[in-house]
Amino acid sequence: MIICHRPWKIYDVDAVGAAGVLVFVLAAIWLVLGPWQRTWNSYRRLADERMAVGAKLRDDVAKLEQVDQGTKDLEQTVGDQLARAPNADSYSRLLSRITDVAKECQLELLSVAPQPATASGAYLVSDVQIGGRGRSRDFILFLDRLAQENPYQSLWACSLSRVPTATEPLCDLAWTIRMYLLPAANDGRAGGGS
Amino acid sequence: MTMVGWLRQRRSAITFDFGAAGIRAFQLTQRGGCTRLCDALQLERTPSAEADPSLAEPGAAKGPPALATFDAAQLARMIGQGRFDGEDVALVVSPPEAEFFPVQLAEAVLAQPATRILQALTWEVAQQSRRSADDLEVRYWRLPLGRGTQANVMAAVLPAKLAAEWCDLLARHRLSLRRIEVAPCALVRLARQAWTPAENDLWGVLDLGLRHSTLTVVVGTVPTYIRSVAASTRQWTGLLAAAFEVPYAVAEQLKREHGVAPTNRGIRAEAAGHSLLRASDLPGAFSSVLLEPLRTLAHEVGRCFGYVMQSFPDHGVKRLFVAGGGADLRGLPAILQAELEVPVSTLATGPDVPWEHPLPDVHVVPRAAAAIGAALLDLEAVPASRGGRGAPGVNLVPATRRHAQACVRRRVAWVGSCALLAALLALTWGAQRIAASAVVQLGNEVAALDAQRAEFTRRMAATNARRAQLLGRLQTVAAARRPQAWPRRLVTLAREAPEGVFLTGITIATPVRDPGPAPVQNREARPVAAGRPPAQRAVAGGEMQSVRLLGYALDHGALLQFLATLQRLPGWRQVELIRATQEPYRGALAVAFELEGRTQEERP
Repeated sequence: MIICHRPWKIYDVDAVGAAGVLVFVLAAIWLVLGPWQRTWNSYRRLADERMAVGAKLRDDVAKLEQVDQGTKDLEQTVGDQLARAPNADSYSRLLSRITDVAKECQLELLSVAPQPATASGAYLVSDVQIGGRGRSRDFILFLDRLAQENPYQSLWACSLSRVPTATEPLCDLAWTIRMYLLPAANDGRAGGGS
Repeated sequence: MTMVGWLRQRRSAITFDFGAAGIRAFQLTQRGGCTRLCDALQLERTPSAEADPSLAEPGAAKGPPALATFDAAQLARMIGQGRFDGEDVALVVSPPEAEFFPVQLAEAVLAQPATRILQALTWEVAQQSRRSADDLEVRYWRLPLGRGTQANVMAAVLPAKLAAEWCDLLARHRLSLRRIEVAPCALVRLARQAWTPAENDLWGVLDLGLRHSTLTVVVGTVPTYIRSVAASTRQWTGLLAAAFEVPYAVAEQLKREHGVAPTNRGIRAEAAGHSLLRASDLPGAFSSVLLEPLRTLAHEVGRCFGYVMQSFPDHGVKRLFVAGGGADLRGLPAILQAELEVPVSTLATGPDVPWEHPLPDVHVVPRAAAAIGAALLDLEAVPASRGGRGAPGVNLVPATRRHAQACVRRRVAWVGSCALLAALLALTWGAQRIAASAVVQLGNEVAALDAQRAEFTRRMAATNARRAQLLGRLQTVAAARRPQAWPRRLVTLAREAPEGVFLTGITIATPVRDPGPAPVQNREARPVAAGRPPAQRAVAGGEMQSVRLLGYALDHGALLQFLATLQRLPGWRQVELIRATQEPYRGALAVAFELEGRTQEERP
């Protein structure tokens, strides 16, 4: 059936067909174009995000490798330092070494009285009171050798006295050495921390 | 030529001309103004007097028209055998199936819409033919106005029932009758390829068929006068068969092989040692036999030209084309030209007859001219009424059928379009789903990267914590390492002591917290701090050790020099003279002194 003659001849099938095409176009807009737009926006956002995250990840990896390497170096350094530092286990050996050095420096030890170690922050301190006789020069030599062998101690107190009328250059010596010790290796506090 | 014309290929319907002597089918294609042959098929029917009694006697009754009894199944088979495209079929009809009526319509009627004009024309034709208007399928074209003429429209008429039957017959074989064209218009359209007449040229096309002949007189490009003439090739062959006492088929074969030739000698006398009739003499002999009907034909054509010229006295007869199977009779154009004194040529392509607009790939022969012309009309993009090259064409397919065909075509087109859209929609929807899944995968990748980065952040935090722990341990170890200042300090003290100064005692007290540049009264706080346990006193901020020096100096100058030296030495602070008294020392008087100072200890 012709529903329009002019300006164009239009049949009823044309109307139905045009309606069908319109339906398909609307369906295309609803099913394809809209989702395409959303998908495209999501893709662009995710692509940008992936690029940014990838770049950050690469930076993180590089930074972590750098920090790891630094940490390994630090571990090595700390290990070396810990190996050198005296601890509570080596206390008796340190005392023995002190007496040996004193003897080597021609000092006559009259008394060695180690005090109990007490905790001071991350480490232990122990005062060793030593009494003896010897020349002041030997005492300085003793202090110098002790400082070279074990820097983890300090001269805490000292008394050198000599009788003014004495003919011999011997002094009465009394000094206290404060030993700084790390906790024993099996101690839970080993290593301490800040 | 537009770009669309170059890209779009037009295709004519498979145009059939069902004649008594044979069937011709042509299909043409056109692209960019170039017309080419798609396929052609010609099937000759052997003329046989036994098979067709009407052929036995020249004056016998005419049989039914060839087109009226055509076999649609045979037509479908022929299409299947060829390389034709599509299922659209066109038929060429000529008298007696189609009839032509010059009709006078009022100009007011002609100004009406086409449907109104057809209604009026159908009524007029029904009046003239004394038939029911419902049984007529009428088309028309405008006629040029001549002097003294009343008809201004030529109506082409076909029985509506016949057209409907053809449509139904073809539809049963899944063929669609797209066009029913009349032979005069088709021949005129083809003749327009051969030459271009002027507006005041008067010319004609003579369609010589086996049973019927039709003369179309054309004024300019419009077929103005159409008339059946009393001549047919069947009649001529019958005359030859009777004259030479040979069967009809033999006469037909002889006629086709030798043709006719104008001669004044007639039959030659008997020659010694030769047969009565030589082959070279046959055209002359045939011409003698057919002289009378050919002259009658020429006179009839001449009378028709004269009749039309009465209405168009200013026009001149320019030429006559001969088409149809009868035009194949060799020598016929020459005889007609001699009789009419008008250029006569067959409507065929050949080396001696150049065409103004030849059709490439198409070899035009006179008996296929109507089919080719109808195919050209069907192919015509622009009708002649709008300036096209061809004669006005008519399409006698009933309007209802054409509308139905158009509906079917449009339905197919719409369904195809919708199917294509559906396929595209499904395709794009599928692609969209794939893209969406790819985006989801991309989102998962981003999430994985985020998780990976979080893991790296966690590892970084753990490493930093571990690093901080190590730094703490290192700091602890470093803090336990003490500056060993006293050996160097004592050596410096011994070396820097001036002459005349003798130290007899040195007392280094336990360190106390550095009070800083405090006023003097703050010294009273020192015993309190000194009374604390060493660990508590050894707080951060540096420690001061009190040093007391005892000794003798030869005089006060040496003592003061010693005091100044101590105050200059690095690490010594607040060196003060506590006591200086004259005392005997080793048999002499010396200054016994007591100095007190402080030394700075670095923090642990």
